[in-house]
Amino acid sequence: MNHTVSSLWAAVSLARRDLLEFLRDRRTVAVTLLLPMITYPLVALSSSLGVRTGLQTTAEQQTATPLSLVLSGPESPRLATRLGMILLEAKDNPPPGWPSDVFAEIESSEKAKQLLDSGKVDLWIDVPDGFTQQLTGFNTIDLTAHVSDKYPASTKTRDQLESLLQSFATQIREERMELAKVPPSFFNPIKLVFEGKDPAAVIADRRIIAPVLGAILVLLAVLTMTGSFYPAIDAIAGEKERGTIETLLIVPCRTQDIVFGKFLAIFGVTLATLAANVISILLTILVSLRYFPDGSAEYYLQNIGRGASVTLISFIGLSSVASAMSLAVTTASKSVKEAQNTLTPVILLISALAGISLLPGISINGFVPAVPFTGQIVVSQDALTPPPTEQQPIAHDDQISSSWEMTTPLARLAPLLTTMLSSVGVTWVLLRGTAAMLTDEDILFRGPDAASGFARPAPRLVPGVIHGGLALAVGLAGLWYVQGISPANIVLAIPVQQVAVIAPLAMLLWWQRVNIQKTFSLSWPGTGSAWSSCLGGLSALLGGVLTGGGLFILGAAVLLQLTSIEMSPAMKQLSEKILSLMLDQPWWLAWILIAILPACLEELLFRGWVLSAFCGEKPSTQRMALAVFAQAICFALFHLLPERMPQTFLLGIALGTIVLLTKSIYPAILCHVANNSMPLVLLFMTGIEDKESLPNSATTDAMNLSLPPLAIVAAGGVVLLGTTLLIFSQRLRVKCSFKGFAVILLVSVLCQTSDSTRHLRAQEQARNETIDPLRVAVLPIKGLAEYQGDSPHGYSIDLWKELSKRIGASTQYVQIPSIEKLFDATRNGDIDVLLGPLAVTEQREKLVDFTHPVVHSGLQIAVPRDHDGRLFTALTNLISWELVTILTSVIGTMILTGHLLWLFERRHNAESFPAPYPRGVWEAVWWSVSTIITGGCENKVISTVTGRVIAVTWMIGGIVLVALLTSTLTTTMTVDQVTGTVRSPRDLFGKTVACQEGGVVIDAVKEYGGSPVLYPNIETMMAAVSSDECDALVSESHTLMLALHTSKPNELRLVPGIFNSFDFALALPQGSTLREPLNNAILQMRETGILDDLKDRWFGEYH
Amino acid sequence: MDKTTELIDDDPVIYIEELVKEYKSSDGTIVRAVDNISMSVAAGEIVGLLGANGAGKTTTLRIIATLLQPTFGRTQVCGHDSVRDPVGVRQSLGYVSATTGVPDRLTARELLTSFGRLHGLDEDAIKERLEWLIQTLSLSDYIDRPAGRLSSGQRQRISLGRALVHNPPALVLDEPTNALDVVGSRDLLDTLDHLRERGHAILLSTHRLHEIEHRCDRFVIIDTGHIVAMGTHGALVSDSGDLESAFFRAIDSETPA
Repeated sequence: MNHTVSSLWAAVSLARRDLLEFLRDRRTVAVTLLLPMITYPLVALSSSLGVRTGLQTTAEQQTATPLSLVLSGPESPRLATRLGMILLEAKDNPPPGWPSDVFAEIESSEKAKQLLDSGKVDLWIDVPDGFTQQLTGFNTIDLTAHVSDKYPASTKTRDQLESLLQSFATQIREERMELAKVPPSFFNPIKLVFEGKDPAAVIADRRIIAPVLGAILVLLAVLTMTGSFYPAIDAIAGEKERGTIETLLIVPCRTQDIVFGKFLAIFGVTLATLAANVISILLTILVSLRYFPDGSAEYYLQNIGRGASVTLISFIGLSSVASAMSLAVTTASKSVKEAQNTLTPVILLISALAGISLLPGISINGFVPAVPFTGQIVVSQDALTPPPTEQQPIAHDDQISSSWEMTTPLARLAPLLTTMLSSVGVTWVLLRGTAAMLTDEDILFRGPDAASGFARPAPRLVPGVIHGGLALAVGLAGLWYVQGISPANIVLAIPVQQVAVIAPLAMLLWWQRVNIQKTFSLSWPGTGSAWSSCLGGLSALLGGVLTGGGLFILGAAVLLQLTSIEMSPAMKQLSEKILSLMLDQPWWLAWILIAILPACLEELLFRGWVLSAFCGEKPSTQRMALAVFAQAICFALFHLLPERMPQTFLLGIALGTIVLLTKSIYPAILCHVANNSMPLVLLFMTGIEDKESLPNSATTDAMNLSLPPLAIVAAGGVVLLGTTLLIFSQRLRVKCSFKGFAVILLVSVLCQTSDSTRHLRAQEQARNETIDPLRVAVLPIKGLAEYQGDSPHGYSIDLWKELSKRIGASTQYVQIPSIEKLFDATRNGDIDVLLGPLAVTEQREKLVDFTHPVVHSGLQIAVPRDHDGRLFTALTNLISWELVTILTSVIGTMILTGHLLWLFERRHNAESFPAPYPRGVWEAVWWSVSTIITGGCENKVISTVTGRVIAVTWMIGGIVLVALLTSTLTTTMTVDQVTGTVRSPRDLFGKTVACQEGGVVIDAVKEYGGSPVLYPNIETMMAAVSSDECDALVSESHTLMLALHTSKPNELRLVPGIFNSFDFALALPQGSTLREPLNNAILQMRETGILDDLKDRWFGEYH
Repeated sequence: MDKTTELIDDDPVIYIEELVKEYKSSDGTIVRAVDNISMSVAAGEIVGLLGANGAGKTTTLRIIATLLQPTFGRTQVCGHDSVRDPVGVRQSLGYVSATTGVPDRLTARELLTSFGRLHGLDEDAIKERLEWLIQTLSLSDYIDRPAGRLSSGQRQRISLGRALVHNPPALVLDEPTNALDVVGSRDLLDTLDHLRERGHAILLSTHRLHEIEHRCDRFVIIDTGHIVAMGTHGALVSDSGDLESAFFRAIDSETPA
């Protein structure tokens, strides 16, 4: 009679019973199902104003303010009449924004100005004399509309006046055309007419719809969730209170079936809630349709089918997850009250998850659809938003991508499938967990405090390795996730990222009980008595700062050496953003965001929590080393971009060592702050204040900068000093010799800084002196100076800026169109300096005076760059016959000597040269090599006379051999040997050479026996060589350098060596007093290397 | 009182062998709520499990009913082991506890019907059983009223009905008369008598000694988890005069077997 019940049947019976019971609770049913019915209409009503204004056209937005205009002047009545007539004509159908009336009073100018300044009128036009006559003429009439200083007219008012006067102008134009007998169609060559509806007016703006949709969906999600609460509380917690839970546990069904049955009941009620919500929303939308612009409603609803079904399906998934979650939470509770208390934070959590979907930048790709609650809302929102059109394409910098973009139907379904799978999975997991909890004796029978699972773990000194790893893993996941949604504005993005990294640590801290002082090494770095502790601590802090600054320079130097590696776009973008942060924001904000905030938080996480976790309580030295290494790797990984990892890894090692050495985190924090502040410091030192003063190349291709070797050495010294201080701080009482060493280094560093400050001060001085400005004309030469707009740019201009600073003069640029006139002007003394620089020829010297040459130029050759990597080509080119010969002879002589030696020594000196053949020669050869290279060989003696003779011969001869080998190597490794075939003009013989038309180059090329091929400009010449049409190209040196420098990617290489060269200098009027100071300045610049710096900046590596 | 060895019938319906249940208390020590209990209940027999509060009666009964798992030992109902075959046990057992309630908004009929379904009875069988239950437990007056409006005695009856809906050969009751008044109590025990005559094996625990003094066939007295006395009324009372004194003597003496 009794048979074991099938699972589904049991679950369904139970669900039936529970539903029946639940639905009898009239009050709860009313709240659960009726509440949503009134929510949406209320929400729609209250937000209808906002929605309406969002959806209205701009025409309705602009409210017309009457324009009050006053005209003055004897001919003002004329204008007033004409304007009045225009307004009258337009009275029935005024153009958008036009007022219905213009208030114009004809007054005298003074009175008009008074009216304007008192705010009684918006604008005043003083009609000029001869206005009437000019109307019929053909010139432009200038009218000035005066705006009050105190009450300046708004943009709308100005626009209105402008449009009004435009109508007037059109009238006048027509009159004039009539006068001149020009037909009106003269100005209208084409007439365009659109057929059909304008889709732009039809589609509700995507950007407005999407957030509104998002908000509604979030509301829907939260209300659906709450719909599952009451039945869940009733289903388990209520049963526990009434004592009926045991009766369920003793029926012959599996616990899973009981749980599933309960779940079904709750799910049913949740679905009912969802349905009630949806019906309410639909009704609200239908009623408020009239707020949509004409036609857009139908358009929107046409596509709604897909969106609605996607939403419905994903929200069924959401209901399932919500039901399972409520069930799980209430199962863990002992009573109804406890269940309610626990569910409240769950509502908050779910609202938060739902609210995340409203953040800009949440995309529908990746794993977002799988996140419960967030995923369903995002998928629904995307499906409901209208598809993109030409007028409103998807803006990719919004970082919102849409399933409408996906091409295959499967891809379009993918987010929905992900959501559903995730929902089912999460539900299943929760139900399994609930089943386990349901039969858990603790939860079932004992009191609330007996549940031991949720107690905080026992206190410990430092966190365990697992907790270290946990903080890292969750932090990294959060950081990676945040990359997708972080705001574009870097001022916000940096704090968001830091929070994402540090949040898991905060949560772990709240959960775990650890000794904060020990874990985070929050002690003062000094030890010992008060005095030595203070001093030691301070020196540790100072040491940290110095080490951090120096390490940055060293790391940058290493990074810049790897110039052949192209920066990834992500890295370039990051550099751009940080550069703009440093330039555009106040320095203290940039400092906090770049240096202080990340330094503190990252130290706490990596050198505090993680390092302590990895080290453990009493670590051995080996373990400490391993821990430092491991946390440095994690630290490097956290910076995500591969280009940053090596530098960060080394920094991590340094910081970890500092913390373990000084047992304090403060020197490490300061070190990190110093390290991160260096970019700001460097920027400040170069004196660049805004983006415009950066040379063109620097912003996009910072790799072309290089550090002077002096800086690297100084940085190295600083790091050493810092390290010394750190060590010094820990052994205060013992080694006094460190002090001396430290002092020496400190002095040398100070000297360096004082030098640079002197330089900076000199620059300041030069800037401050004011005398009459010099008139400077610029000879436009491609490659050296060009006019861009009104101001000149180029190498020559920068050169002149430097020179003028040094001679303490200010500049006034004069633009003269032709070269002859330039020369004339210089001869006459109309201009003080002619900037070219010009080629110095005897002819010109007769007419003008020249300064010392500033540029040495001439013709230069460019050839295609080898396609192999330089290193490989270098290696293959090294293998020349000479090298092979030398190497062979060296080895051969070694072996020969070895044999000879062995022959003569073996009988008398068996210790050093054993008798048996292979072994003895082996030892002898070893002797030869050692002697030659290191100058001696231990534990071998030469005892016979003959042997010693041989040995001496070998030693002397060996010197020669080694020298030969070294010199051969050196010669084969010169840059010229290693690359290319064309190394000088002579190599142009028989080759095709690209040249510019009409230049002196053609003759020069023919002179050397090459065949010139003509091209119009440098760009086409370069293209020809890259595509192998020509073997090489020849051009003026600086034009070529500039072109190569600014072209990317570089496929050409400059052959060193200028031929047919001449000097270039600045031209001055004969007898100019500027000659002496300018010459001094030029020589100074040449000797201090500034000239080279300038060339670096403009021509890069090519000069 | 000596603990006489048990008169084990040929086929005890409820059989408990060396049952032990241990708990870990909050300070880490292990506490034995049930310490080596062995007993059995035969068909047509009412056995009373007596003990003070916290003696381990509820724990024992819960283990029999498969609500708890024993640490050592085993219990069997109709040959089904409670750990290895809990479904079989549940099919053969009806369990009522003092704290067992009934859902407020369902009528007794609906409740009994739903439990009948969960036990696998088909609709006709359910109807049949319902009739029988109404008759036996006199539920006709309030069978169709929502249980929330009934008195505690009436609810207890409905609970009993739920436990009996699948006609189990064994019945376990944990302090069933706690919430009942004198009349309700007597009615319930009369019903149990009736069931015993029909051949059910009944194990019931209580601390109201006077109620069941003359109703049970055998008594088992337990204290702090182990049996301190066992036997028929006559055997227990022979030295002390009434059950209560026998009870106290058994508890105070604590002599091992």
